[in-house]
Amino acid sequence: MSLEEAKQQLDTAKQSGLVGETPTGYLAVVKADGNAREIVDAINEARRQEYSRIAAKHNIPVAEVEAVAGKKAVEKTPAGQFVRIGDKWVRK
Amino acid sequence: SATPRVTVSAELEGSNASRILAETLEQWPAGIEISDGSLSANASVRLPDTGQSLEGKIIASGMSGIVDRMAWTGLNGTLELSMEDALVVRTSELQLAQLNPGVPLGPVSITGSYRAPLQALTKGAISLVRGRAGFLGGEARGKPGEWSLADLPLTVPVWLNDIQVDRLMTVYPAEGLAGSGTLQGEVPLVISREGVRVAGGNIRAVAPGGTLKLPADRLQALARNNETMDLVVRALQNFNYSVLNSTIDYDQEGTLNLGLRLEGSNPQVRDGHPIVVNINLQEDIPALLTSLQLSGRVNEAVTEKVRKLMEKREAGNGEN
Amino acid sequence: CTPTVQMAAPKEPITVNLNVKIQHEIYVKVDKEVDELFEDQGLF
Repeated sequence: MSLEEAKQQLDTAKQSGLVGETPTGYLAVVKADGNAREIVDAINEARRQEYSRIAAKHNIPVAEVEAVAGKKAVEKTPAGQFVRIGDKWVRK
Repeated sequence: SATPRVTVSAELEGSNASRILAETLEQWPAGIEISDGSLSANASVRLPDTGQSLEGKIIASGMSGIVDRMAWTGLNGTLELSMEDALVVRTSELQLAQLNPGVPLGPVSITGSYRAPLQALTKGAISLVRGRAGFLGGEARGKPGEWSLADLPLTVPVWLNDIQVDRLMTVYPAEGLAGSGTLQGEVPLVISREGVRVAGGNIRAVAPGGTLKLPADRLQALARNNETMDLVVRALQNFNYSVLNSTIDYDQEGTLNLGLRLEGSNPQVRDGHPIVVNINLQEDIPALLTSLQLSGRVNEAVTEKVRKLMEKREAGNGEN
Repeated sequence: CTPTVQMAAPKEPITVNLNVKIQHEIYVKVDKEVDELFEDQGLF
Protein backbone atom coordinates (compact mmCIF):
# COMPACT_ATOMS: atom_id res chain seq x y z
CA MET A 1 0.00 0.00 0.00
CA SER A 2 1.36 3.41 -0.94
CA LEU A 3 1.66 6.20 1.59
CA GLU A 4 -0.96 8.20 -0.32
CA GLU A 5 -3.51 5.37 -0.11
CA ALA A 6 -2.75 4.92 3.58
CA LYS A 7 -3.29 8.63 4.21
CA GLN A 8 -6.65 8.54 2.40
CA GLN A 9 -7.88 5.54 4.40
CA LEU A 10 -6.47 6.69 7.74
CA ASP A 11 -9.49 8.70 8.88
CA THR A 12 -12.04 6.00 8.09
CA ALA A 13 -9.81 3.39 9.77
CA LYS A 14 -9.70 5.54 12.91
CA GLN A 15 -13.43 6.29 12.88
CA SER A 16 -14.30 2.60 12.51
CA GLY A 17 -12.01 1.75 15.44
CA LEU A 18 -9.49 -0.30 13.44
CA VAL A 19 -6.44 1.82 14.37
CA GLY A 20 -5.57 4.24 17.18
CA GLU A 21 -2.91 6.66 18.47
CA THR A 22 -0.41 5.78 21.24
CA PRO A 23 1.87 7.86 23.51
CA THR A 24 4.88 6.53 21.56
CA GLY A 25 4.07 8.85 18.65
CA TYR A 26 3.15 5.91 16.40
CA LEU A 27 -0.15 4.40 15.23
CA ALA A 28 -1.16 0.87 16.30
CA VAL A 29 -3.76 -1.68 15.19
CA VAL A 30 -6.84 -1.86 17.44
CA LYS A 31 -8.67 -4.53 15.39
CA ALA A 32 -6.83 -6.37 12.64
CA ASP A 33 -9.59 -6.10 9.99
CA GLY A 34 -9.37 -4.90 6.40
CA ASN A 35 -6.00 -3.34 5.69
CA ALA A 36 -5.50 -1.88 9.17
CA ARG A 37 -2.01 -3.37 9.40
CA GLU A 38 -0.85 -1.92 6.03
CA ILE A 39 -2.19 1.56 6.92
CA VAL A 40 -0.38 1.49 10.27
CA ASP A 41 2.92 0.35 8.71
CA ALA A 42 2.85 2.96 5.89
CA ILE A 43 1.95 5.88 8.17
CA ASN A 44 4.45 4.87 10.87
CA GLU A 45 7.26 4.58 8.33
CA ALA A 46 6.58 8.15 7.14
CA ARG A 47 6.35 9.39 10.74
CA ARG A 48 9.66 7.69 11.66
CA GLN A 49 11.50 9.54 8.87
CA GLU A 50 9.93 12.89 9.77
CA TYR A 51 10.71 12.49 13.49
CA SER A 52 14.40 11.81 12.78
CA ARG A 53 14.57 14.77 10.40
CA ILE A 54 13.19 17.09 13.14
CA ALA A 55 15.46 15.53 15.78
CA ALA A 56 18.57 16.01 13.63
CA LYS A 57 17.59 19.60 12.88
CA HIS A 58 17.43 20.52 16.60
CA ASN A 59 20.22 18.21 17.70
CA ILE A 60 18.01 16.34 20.18
CA PRO A 61 17.36 12.58 20.49
CA VAL A 62 14.54 11.20 18.27
CA ALA A 63 12.89 9.84 21.43
CA GLU A 64 12.15 13.40 22.50
CA VAL A 65 10.39 14.21 19.22
CA GLU A 66 8.43 10.94 19.51
CA ALA A 67 7.44 11.90 23.07
CA VAL A 68 6.14 15.29 21.93
CA ALA A 69 4.32 13.68 18.96
CA GLY A 70 2.83 10.95 21.18
CA LYS A 71 1.46 13.47 23.64
CA LYS A 72 -0.01 15.53 20.81
CA ALA A 73 -1.50 12.56 18.92
CA VAL A 74 -3.29 11.22 21.99
CA GLU A 75 -4.49 14.72 22.91
CA LYS A 76 -5.78 15.52 19.39
CA THR A 77 -7.67 12.24 19.04
CA PRO A 78 -11.40 13.19 18.90
CA ALA A 79 -14.01 11.60 21.18
CA GLY A 80 -15.16 8.16 20.06
CA GLN A 81 -11.79 7.11 18.68
CA PHE A 82 -9.28 4.83 20.40
CA VAL A 83 -6.10 5.81 22.27
CA ARG A 84 -3.69 3.51 24.06
CA ILE A 85 -3.45 4.11 27.82
CA GLY A 86 -0.94 1.80 29.53
CA ASP A 87 -1.55 -1.60 27.97
CA LYS A 88 -5.18 -1.23 26.92
CA TRP A 89 -7.16 0.57 24.25
CA VAL A 90 -9.53 3.21 25.57
CA ARG A 91 -12.27 4.91 23.52
CA LYS A 92 -12.02 8.63 24.26
CA SER B 1 -0.77 5.40 90.68
CA ALA B 2 1.14 4.45 87.57
CA THR B 3 0.39 6.88 84.80
CA PRO B 4 -1.13 4.99 81.87
CA ARG B 5 1.17 4.78 78.88
CA VAL B 6 -0.17 4.06 75.43
CA THR B 7 2.27 2.96 72.76
CA VAL B 8 1.40 3.09 69.08
CA SER B 9 3.49 1.73 66.24
CA ALA B 10 2.90 1.54 62.50
CA GLU B 11 4.89 0.21 59.57
CA LEU B 12 4.16 1.59 56.11
CA GLU B 13 5.56 -0.05 53.02
CA GLY B 14 6.45 1.68 49.76
CA SER B 15 3.80 3.21 47.57
CA ASN B 16 0.85 2.63 49.88
CA ALA B 17 2.78 4.67 52.45
CA SER B 18 2.04 7.89 50.56
CA ARG B 19 -1.59 6.93 50.07
CA ILE B 20 -2.07 6.22 53.78
CA LEU B 21 -0.15 9.32 54.85
CA ALA B 22 -2.16 11.44 52.40
CA GLU B 23 -5.39 10.05 53.89
CA THR B 24 -4.39 10.51 57.51
CA LEU B 25 -2.53 13.83 57.60
CA GLU B 26 -4.57 16.43 55.86
CA GLN B 27 -1.68 18.86 55.40
CA TRP B 28 0.23 16.11 53.56
CA PRO B 29 1.58 18.02 50.54
CA ALA B 30 -0.07 16.58 47.42
CA GLY B 31 3.11 16.56 45.37
CA ILE B 32 4.88 13.91 47.47
CA GLU B 33 4.71 10.33 46.15
CA ILE B 34 6.63 7.47 47.79
CA SER B 35 7.51 4.60 45.49
CA ASP B 36 9.43 2.24 47.74
CA GLY B 37 11.25 1.75 51.02
CA SER B 38 9.54 1.68 54.38
CA LEU B 39 8.48 4.14 57.05
CA SER B 40 8.02 2.98 60.59
CA ALA B 41 6.68 5.09 63.42
CA ASN B 42 6.28 4.42 67.10
CA ALA B 43 5.06 6.74 69.78
CA SER B 44 4.27 6.47 73.46
CA VAL B 45 1.80 8.80 75.02
CA ARG B 46 1.67 9.46 78.75
CA LEU B 47 -1.63 10.76 80.06
CA PRO B 48 -0.98 12.19 83.54
CA ASP B 49 -3.80 14.35 84.81
CA THR B 50 -1.50 17.38 84.50
CA GLY B 51 -1.20 17.22 80.68
CA GLN B 52 -0.35 14.73 78.01
CA SER B 53 3.15 14.19 76.68
CA LEU B 54 4.22 12.25 73.60
CA GLU B 55 7.57 10.74 72.73
CA GLY B 56 7.95 9.22 69.29
CA LYS B 57 10.24 8.15 66.50
CA ILE B 58 9.71 8.06 62.74
CA ILE B 59 12.28 5.88 60.96
CA ALA B 60 12.69 6.00 57.20
CA SER B 61 14.71 3.26 55.51
CA GLY B 62 15.62 3.07 51.86
CA MET B 63 12.71 5.25 50.81
CA SER B 64 12.44 6.94 47.43
CA GLY B 65 9.83 8.62 45.25
CA ILE B 66 8.97 11.96 43.74
CA VAL B 67 8.22 15.37 45.22
CA ASP B 68 6.63 17.69 42.68
CA ARG B 69 8.98 17.29 39.68
CA MET B 70 12.04 16.10 41.60
CA ALA B 71 13.06 12.49 42.07
CA TRP B 72 14.43 11.61 45.52
CA THR B 73 16.11 8.32 46.35
CA GLY B 74 17.66 6.60 49.36
CA LEU B 75 16.02 8.41 52.29
CA ASN B 76 17.32 7.00 55.57
CA GLY B 77 17.22 8.41 59.06
CA THR B 78 15.28 8.89 62.24
CA LEU B 79 13.14 11.79 63.36
CA GLU B 80 12.65 11.99 67.12
CA LEU B 81 9.49 13.77 68.20
CA SER B 82 8.49 14.96 71.63
CA MET B 83 5.44 16.95 72.58
CA GLU B 84 4.89 18.39 75.99
CA ASP B 85 4.57 22.15 76.26
CA ALA B 86 6.03 22.45 72.73
CA LEU B 87 6.55 20.23 69.72
CA VAL B 88 10.22 19.33 69.21
CA VAL B 89 11.35 17.38 66.14
CA ARG B 90 15.02 16.43 66.04
CA THR B 91 17.26 14.39 63.76
CA SER B 92 20.87 13.45 64.44
CA GLU B 93 21.26 12.60 60.74
CA LEU B 94 18.70 12.47 57.92
CA GLN B 95 20.32 11.19 54.73
CA LEU B 96 19.12 11.31 51.14
CA ALA B 97 21.19 9.54 48.49
CA GLN B 98 20.03 11.85 45.73
CA LEU B 99 17.62 14.68 44.99
CA ASN B 100 17.25 15.28 41.26
CA PRO B 101 15.20 18.21 39.83
CA GLY B 102 17.15 17.83 36.57
CA VAL B 103 20.56 18.44 38.08
CA PRO B 104 21.57 15.69 40.58
CA LEU B 105 22.20 16.80 44.16
CA GLY B 106 23.51 14.38 46.72
CA PRO B 107 24.32 12.71 49.00
CA VAL B 108 22.35 15.09 51.18
CA SER B 109 22.68 14.98 54.95
CA ILE B 110 20.86 17.11 57.48
CA THR B 111 21.27 17.42 61.26
CA GLY B 112 19.07 19.78 63.15
CA SER B 113 15.84 20.36 64.98
CA TYR B 114 12.51 22.22 64.89
CA ARG B 115 10.72 23.55 67.93
CA ALA B 116 7.26 25.11 67.86
CA PRO B 117 4.67 26.11 70.46
CA LEU B 118 1.67 23.78 70.40
CA GLN B 119 -0.70 26.54 69.42
CA ALA B 120 1.45 27.68 66.47
CA LEU B 121 2.98 24.55 65.01
CA THR B 122 3.98 26.23 61.74
CA LYS B 123 5.57 29.27 63.37
CA GLY B 124 8.42 27.47 65.15
CA ALA B 125 12.18 27.86 65.10
CA ILE B 126 14.48 25.79 62.89
CA SER B 127 17.99 25.08 64.09
CA LEU B 128 20.40 23.78 61.44
CA VAL B 129 23.44 22.05 62.89
CA ARG B 130 24.68 20.61 59.60
CA GLY B 131 23.23 20.62 56.14
CA ARG B 132 25.28 19.62 53.14
CA ALA B 133 24.77 18.11 49.69
CA GLY B 134 27.14 16.82 47.08
CA PHE B 135 26.86 19.05 44.00
CA LEU B 136 28.72 18.96 40.64
CA GLY B 137 31.76 17.19 42.07
CA GLY B 138 31.93 19.51 45.06
CA GLU B 139 29.43 20.42 47.74
CA ALA B 140 26.81 22.92 48.83
CA ARG B 141 26.86 23.48 52.58
CA GLY B 142 24.32 25.46 54.57
CA LYS B 143 25.66 27.79 57.25
CA PRO B 144 24.55 26.44 60.64
CA GLY B 145 22.09 28.75 62.36
CA GLU B 146 18.65 29.39 63.84
CA TRP B 147 15.65 30.76 61.93
CA SER B 148 12.14 31.55 63.05
CA LEU B 149 9.33 30.69 60.66
CA ALA B 150 7.33 33.38 62.41
CA ASP B 151 9.21 36.15 60.64
CA LEU B 152 9.73 35.29 57.01
CA PRO B 153 11.60 35.74 54.75
CA LEU B 154 14.54 33.98 56.28
CA THR B 155 18.03 33.99 54.75
CA VAL B 156 20.16 30.85 54.74
CA PRO B 157 23.71 31.40 53.47
CA VAL B 158 24.89 28.42 51.39
CA TRP B 159 28.58 27.90 50.62
CA LEU B 160 29.63 26.28 47.36
CA ASN B 161 33.00 24.49 47.47
CA ASP B 162 35.02 22.53 44.87
CA ILE B 163 32.36 22.90 42.15
CA GLN B 164 33.91 21.31 39.05
CA VAL B 165 33.49 23.26 35.82
CA ASP B 166 33.71 20.07 33.75
CA ARG B 167 30.74 18.54 35.64
CA LEU B 168 28.79 21.80 35.20
CA MET B 169 29.37 21.56 31.45
CA THR B 170 28.15 17.96 31.18
CA VAL B 171 24.97 18.66 33.18
CA TYR B 172 23.94 21.55 30.96
CA PRO B 173 21.52 20.32 28.24
CA ALA B 174 23.65 21.51 25.33
CA GLU B 175 26.05 18.96 23.79
CA GLY B 176 29.70 19.59 23.19
CA LEU B 177 30.43 21.92 26.11
CA ALA B 178 33.66 21.21 28.00
CA GLY B 179 35.78 23.01 30.56
CA SER B 180 38.01 22.72 33.57
CA GLY B 181 38.56 24.61 36.78
CA THR B 182 37.19 24.69 40.31
CA LEU B 183 34.64 27.19 41.60
CA GLN B 184 33.68 28.34 45.07
CA GLY B 185 31.24 30.88 46.28
CA GLU B 186 28.34 31.83 48.52
CA VAL B 187 24.67 31.81 47.62
CA PRO B 188 22.30 33.34 50.21
CA LEU B 189 18.92 31.58 49.91
CA VAL B 190 16.03 33.91 50.78
CA ILE B 191 13.04 31.71 51.71
CA SER B 192 9.53 33.18 51.94
CA ARG B 193 5.95 32.02 51.44
CA GLU B 194 6.28 32.76 47.71
CA GLY B 195 9.31 30.50 47.33
CA VAL B 196 13.08 30.58 47.29
CA ARG B 197 15.21 33.24 45.67
CA VAL B 198 18.87 34.24 45.75
CA ALA B 199 20.04 37.78 46.35
CA GLY B 200 23.65 38.84 46.10
CA GLY B 201 25.29 35.48 45.57
CA ASN B 202 28.77 35.17 44.10
CA ILE B 203 31.01 32.49 42.67
CA ARG B 204 34.61 32.58 41.43
CA ALA B 205 37.24 30.24 40.06
CA VAL B 206 40.13 29.34 42.32
CA ALA B 207 43.64 30.03 41.04
CA PRO B 208 45.13 29.25 38.53
CA GLY B 209 41.77 29.18 36.62
CA GLY B 210 41.08 26.72 33.81
CA THR B 211 39.73 26.40 30.28
CA LEU B 212 36.33 26.79 28.60
CA LYS B 213 35.51 24.98 25.35
CA LEU B 214 32.17 26.20 24.01
CA PRO B 215 31.59 25.04 20.39
CA ALA B 216 30.74 27.87 17.98
CA ASP B 217 27.33 26.51 16.93
CA ARG B 218 26.26 26.28 20.57
CA LEU B 219 27.21 29.90 21.17
CA GLN B 220 25.39 30.98 18.01
CA ALA B 221 22.27 29.28 19.38
CA LEU B 222 22.79 30.74 22.85
CA ALA B 223 23.38 34.35 21.84
CA ARG B 224 21.48 34.80 18.62
CA ASN B 225 20.56 38.46 19.19
CA ASN B 226 24.13 39.69 19.52
CA GLU B 227 26.22 41.06 16.67
CA THR B 228 29.65 41.50 18.32
CA MET B 229 29.86 37.75 18.87
CA ASP B 230 32.52 36.78 16.34
CA LEU B 231 35.63 37.49 18.46
CA VAL B 232 34.06 36.03 21.60
CA VAL B 233 32.68 32.95 19.81
CA ARG B 234 36.10 32.13 18.37
CA ALA B 235 37.88 32.93 21.64
CA LEU B 236 35.57 30.78 23.77
CA GLN B 237 36.16 27.72 21.64
CA ASN B 238 39.36 27.19 23.62
CA PHE B 239 39.61 29.91 26.26
CA ASN B 240 42.27 29.68 28.98
CA TYR B 241 40.95 31.86 31.81
CA SER B 242 42.84 33.15 34.82
CA VAL B 243 39.81 35.01 36.20
CA LEU B 244 36.23 33.74 36.23
CA ASN B 245 33.85 35.31 38.71
CA SER B 246 30.16 36.04 38.71
CA THR B 247 27.41 37.58 40.74
CA ILE B 248 24.36 35.32 41.18
CA ASP B 249 20.76 36.50 41.53
CA TYR B 250 17.65 34.33 41.15
CA ASP B 251 14.14 35.70 41.45
CA GLN B 252 10.75 34.21 42.36
CA GLU B 253 9.76 33.67 38.72
CA GLY B 254 12.80 31.45 38.19
CA THR B 255 15.03 33.84 36.27
CA LEU B 256 18.72 33.38 37.01
CA ASN B 257 20.91 36.44 36.37
CA LEU B 258 24.66 35.96 36.24
CA GLY B 259 27.06 38.91 36.02
CA LEU B 260 29.98 36.94 34.64
CA ARG B 261 33.55 38.28 34.20
CA LEU B 262 36.15 36.27 32.31
CA GLU B 263 39.81 37.21 31.81
CA GLY B 264 42.07 35.06 29.66
CA SER B 265 43.05 34.33 26.09
CA ASN B 266 42.85 31.84 23.26
CA PRO B 267 46.24 30.99 21.73
CA GLN B 268 44.62 30.74 18.26
CA VAL B 269 42.84 34.14 18.48
CA ARG B 270 44.88 37.32 17.87
CA ASP B 271 47.88 35.12 18.88
CA GLY B 272 46.80 34.93 22.47
CA HIS B 273 46.03 38.59 23.02
CA PRO B 274 44.42 39.03 26.48
CA ILE B 275 40.62 39.27 26.31
CA VAL B 276 38.14 40.36 28.99
CA VAL B 277 34.53 39.29 28.57
CA ASN B 278 31.74 40.70 30.73
CA ILE B 279 28.55 38.74 30.18
CA ASN B 280 25.15 39.46 31.68
CA LEU B 281 23.67 36.00 31.35
CA GLN B 282 19.97 35.40 31.90
CA GLU B 283 18.74 31.82 32.18
CA ASP B 284 15.16 30.63 32.65
CA ILE B 285 15.66 27.91 35.29
CA PRO B 286 12.13 26.38 35.17
CA ALA B 287 12.46 26.05 31.38
CA LEU B 288 15.97 24.61 31.82
CA LEU B 289 14.75 22.07 34.39
CA THR B 290 11.67 21.27 32.30
CA SER B 291 13.81 20.51 29.25
CA LEU B 292 16.11 18.40 31.48
CA GLN B 293 13.16 16.56 33.02
CA LEU B 294 11.48 16.10 29.61
CA SER B 295 14.63 14.65 28.14
CA GLY B 296 14.45 11.83 30.67
CA ARG B 297 17.47 12.95 32.71
CA VAL B 298 15.59 12.41 35.96
CA ASN B 299 13.49 9.28 35.65
CA GLU B 300 10.56 8.03 33.64
CA ALA B 301 8.05 8.88 36.37
CA VAL B 302 9.12 12.55 36.44
CA THR B 303 9.25 12.76 32.63
CA GLU B 304 5.68 11.40 32.53
CA LYS B 305 4.53 13.79 35.24
CA VAL B 306 6.07 16.81 33.46
CA ARG B 307 4.49 15.72 30.20
CA LYS B 308 1.05 15.57 31.85
CA LEU B 309 1.68 18.98 33.41
CA MET B 310 2.50 20.41 29.98
CA GLU B 311 -0.66 18.81 28.56
CA LYS B 312 -2.81 20.35 31.28
CA ARG B 313 -1.16 23.70 30.71
CA GLU B 314 -1.79 23.44 26.97
CA ALA B 315 -5.33 22.22 27.49
CA GLY B 316 -5.78 25.17 29.86
CA ASN B 317 -4.93 27.70 27.19
CA GLY B 318 -6.08 25.48 24.39
CA GLU B 319 -8.92 27.76 23.40
CA ASN B 320 -6.94 30.92 22.50
CA CYS C 1 74.79 52.19 37.92
CA THR C 2 71.88 49.98 38.74
CA PRO C 3 70.44 48.20 35.77
CA THR C 4 66.87 49.26 35.21
CA VAL C 5 64.53 46.46 34.28
CA GLN C 6 62.28 47.54 31.43
CA MET C 7 58.85 45.91 31.97
CA ALA C 8 57.02 45.63 28.68
CA ALA C 9 53.71 47.43 29.18
CA PRO C 10 51.09 44.66 29.53
CA LYS C 11 49.06 44.38 26.30
CA GLU C 12 45.82 46.29 26.71
CA PRO C 13 43.13 43.55 26.89
CA ILE C 14 40.30 43.58 24.36
CA THR C 15 37.12 44.04 26.41
CA VAL C 16 33.75 42.76 25.16
CA ASN C 17 30.47 43.32 26.99
CA LEU C 18 27.58 40.97 26.19
CA ASN C 19 23.98 40.47 27.14
CA VAL C 20 22.89 36.87 26.61
CA LYS C 21 19.37 35.59 27.22
CA ILE C 22 19.14 31.81 27.05
CA GLN C 23 15.81 30.45 25.99
CA HIS C 24 14.86 26.82 25.91
CA GLU C 25 12.52 27.13 23.04
CA ILE C 26 13.79 24.01 21.36
CA TYR C 27 10.68 22.22 22.66
CA VAL C 28 8.39 25.00 21.50
CA LYS C 29 9.86 24.71 17.97
CA VAL C 30 9.69 20.91 17.96
CA ASP C 31 6.11 21.11 19.14
CA LYS C 32 5.22 23.43 16.27
CA GLU C 33 6.96 21.26 13.67
CA VAL C 34 5.17 18.14 14.86
CA ASP C 35 1.92 20.08 14.58
CA GLU C 36 2.70 20.88 10.96
CA LEU C 37 3.57 17.24 10.38
CA PHE C 38 0.16 16.11 11.61
CA GLU C 39 -1.86 18.96 10.06
CA ASP C 40 -0.34 19.55 6.64
CA GLN C 41 1.07 16.15 5.78
CA GLY C 42 -1.96 14.13 6.79
CA LEU C 43 0.05 11.84 9.02
CA PHE C 44 -2.45 12.14 11.90
